[in-house]
Amino acid sequence: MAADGADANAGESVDEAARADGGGDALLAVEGLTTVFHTDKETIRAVDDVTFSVEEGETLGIVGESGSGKSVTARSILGLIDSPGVIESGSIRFRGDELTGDNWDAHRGDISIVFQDPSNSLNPVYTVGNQIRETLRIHQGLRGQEAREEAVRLLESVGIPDARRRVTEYPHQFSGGMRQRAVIAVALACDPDLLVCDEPTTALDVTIQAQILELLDDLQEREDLAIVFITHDMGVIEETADRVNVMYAGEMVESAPVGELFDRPQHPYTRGLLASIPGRTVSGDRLPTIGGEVPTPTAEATDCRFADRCPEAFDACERVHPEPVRVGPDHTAACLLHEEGYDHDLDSEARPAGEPPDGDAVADGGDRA
Amino acid sequence: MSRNDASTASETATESEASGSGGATAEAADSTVSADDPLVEVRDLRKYYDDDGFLGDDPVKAVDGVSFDIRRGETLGLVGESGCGKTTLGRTILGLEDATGGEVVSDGRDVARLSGTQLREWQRDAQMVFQDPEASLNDRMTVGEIVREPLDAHDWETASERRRRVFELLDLVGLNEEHYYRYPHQFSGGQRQRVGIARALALEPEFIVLDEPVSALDVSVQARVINLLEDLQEELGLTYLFIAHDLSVVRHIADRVAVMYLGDIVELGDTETVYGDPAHPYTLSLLSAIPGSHTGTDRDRVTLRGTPPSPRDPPQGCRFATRCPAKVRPDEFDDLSGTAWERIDALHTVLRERANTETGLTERLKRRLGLAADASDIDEVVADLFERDPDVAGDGSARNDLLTESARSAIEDAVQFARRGEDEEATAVLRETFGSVCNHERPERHAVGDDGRVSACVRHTDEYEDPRSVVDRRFADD
Repeated sequence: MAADGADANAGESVDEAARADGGGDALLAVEGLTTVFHTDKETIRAVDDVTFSVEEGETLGIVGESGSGKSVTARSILGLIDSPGVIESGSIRFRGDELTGDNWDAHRGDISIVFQDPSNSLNPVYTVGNQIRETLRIHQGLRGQEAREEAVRLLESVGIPDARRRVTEYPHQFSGGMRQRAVIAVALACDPDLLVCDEPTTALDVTIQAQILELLDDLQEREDLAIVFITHDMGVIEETADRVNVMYAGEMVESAPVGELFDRPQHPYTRGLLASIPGRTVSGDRLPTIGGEVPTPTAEATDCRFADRCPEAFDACERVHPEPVRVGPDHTAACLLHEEGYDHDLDSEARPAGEPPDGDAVADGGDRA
Repeated sequence: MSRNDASTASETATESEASGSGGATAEAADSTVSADDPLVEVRDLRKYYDDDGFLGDDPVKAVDGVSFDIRRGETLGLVGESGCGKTTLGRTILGLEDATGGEVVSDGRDVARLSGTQLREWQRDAQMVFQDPEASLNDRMTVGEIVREPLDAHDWETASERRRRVFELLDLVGLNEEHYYRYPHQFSGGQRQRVGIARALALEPEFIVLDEPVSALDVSVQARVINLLEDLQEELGLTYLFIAHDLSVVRHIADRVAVMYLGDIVELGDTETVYGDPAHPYTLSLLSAIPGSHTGTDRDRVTLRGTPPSPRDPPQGCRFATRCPAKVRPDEFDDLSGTAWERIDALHTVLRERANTETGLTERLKRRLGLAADASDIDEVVADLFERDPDVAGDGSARNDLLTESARSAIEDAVQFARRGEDEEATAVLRETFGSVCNHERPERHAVGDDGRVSACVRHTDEYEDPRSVVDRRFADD
């Protein structure tokens, strides 16, 4: 189910210290979040020292390829990390209250999540109405006729026509797009302030995707929702987000307002990502590519994780881990190109001119086993 | 940045249009419609699945009367929403599915009806690359065995020759010799797709059906596989049928594009012309739904309502009529506003969905016994649509001017049926009253422009306004 099923204990376990700090104005403030997965062989640092915040009513886009740590970030915010995963360090504050250290119950229902595949998010043996009413009962204490009316209202609010009848139907009687609408209705049933959407339109057709994006836009305006929107699709990000964080191998490599990011990307990875989207180049040309693959981070970073795929990498990139630096108003990038004191111009010219950094096909065919 | 790209793209578009019209005159001299040499000719191809349900259900018409040519050496893109029959069409052309009707002609053979040696020959000439590299490679075979399998199956040369051929193929797709002994699970998604491509190339085919070959890949990996496919095509003179739901990928790779809706191709033409100036209302809506600014179209989004109807029971007349933003409206209702039409369409959709719901036994029983609570809900739907105005809170009378007298009485008739649970009849009333040529006639294909583009919409005849201006006007209304 979209909303997490655990019972809403009234939140008295709020960390006093965190409350005293106040935590600024941001609705959600994530600082130095590190989520790791312990396996027999190694420890995978799926999210590594990530910091960002979400303001009320804002849409924050998180974009990256598979394995970049987007979804683990989303699950960390919701407290949905299960063994062998663990939030190793960092803080997640909602309205100034610290959530890590098992304090999610304090804000159960204030944060909701919508997953990628609507068919897996709904229970096939209960009616859609049933599943909305369950959330209403747990999070808002509504029962009986009141809950039934509210369930119909919610289905109507996500644009499902004939809601009074639809509420009695089972998920298999809904089409894919309708199902995702129903999932969103369940997510809204706990009256959240923050909606985390993890690739909510990836399983849908482009026409249905357009409907769902329009719906999320409406809802945000109507209910003043803040949204964290996770996707690998740059086009979707461009359309939905106010700000964008670009993730690579567990780290946040660039963060900027959406227009700024698309017009003036400052990290070589972001530039490569934008260039490799078909349709941005004149058709007939070869697509620019990034060689190699997203590495799986297993140790704390001592270098730039993008260095061996980076067309602009120089010596220092192998030795120094870049921290995010300001590269414009409200725009940060974690890349040594933007740090003073590195003699990168000379080095980058030392590369054999004209050689593509990846060698294209061969790079993908390289030894990875 | 993206705006510059867009303008460059449109410049290229005009260029290709210009050269296209030049080509048209040259073709006219040749006195054939298409001077290009077709590799595969698909004629009125049908593929129905009937599942022999004991209730005698209608068959699923996955592909329903499709005709087009695939020219030698081109990449033909095939796009459409899921369930429109793209994959079935690809598989039927290759003979992986038995065609219900129609023919697929290549080099004078009807390949849909081949058997024996001839079929084996066609299977060498035509190959397929599948979407999911996880599922389409056998995890218990080494990559070498996987790529060699088609050679073994067709008894190609000697064993050592086969082996040499496999190494050659691995090299061709950017893998190397040591990968021969590895298993698919040791590879990344991009590499697995390369293995799939190597296997498809093993028997030196002329024609490859690529079914969503890059959909499961990340964008940076996807770009490399697309480049590989383009290189291979050039090197080996391949012909591609490229099936994808990602419209940007198709724009990049395809020379021509076919747009499919509910079992039929509604528009077919040169990629840049179709993307730059879509003719069919469906193409227009589909392209406008691509997110982001890099699409090269500055037009407003035309959001389609609902989902495609079931291919088991496609709408009569034009298949797209139930969702079409440019549907022809009968003259007698000329004075209805855009909002009124939107509400009427919404009611129609609700009734149609009700009529099509597959009801369980208990539900039917309840309805027989009058226990079902939902038959009268229709009043609420009607009230929501026509009486209450969601924009004017609490004012019930604000919407009385929405409908004309005749429209109101027709809706009243339909609602009468719906109250008794006779949703079929209710739908029929609405279709009769508010329907038009779109609901009665399956539209023919019309040539649009002078570069061989076709589009199946009645609005391309002189009798009606063209789809583009209708959509622009209707969407400006609201």
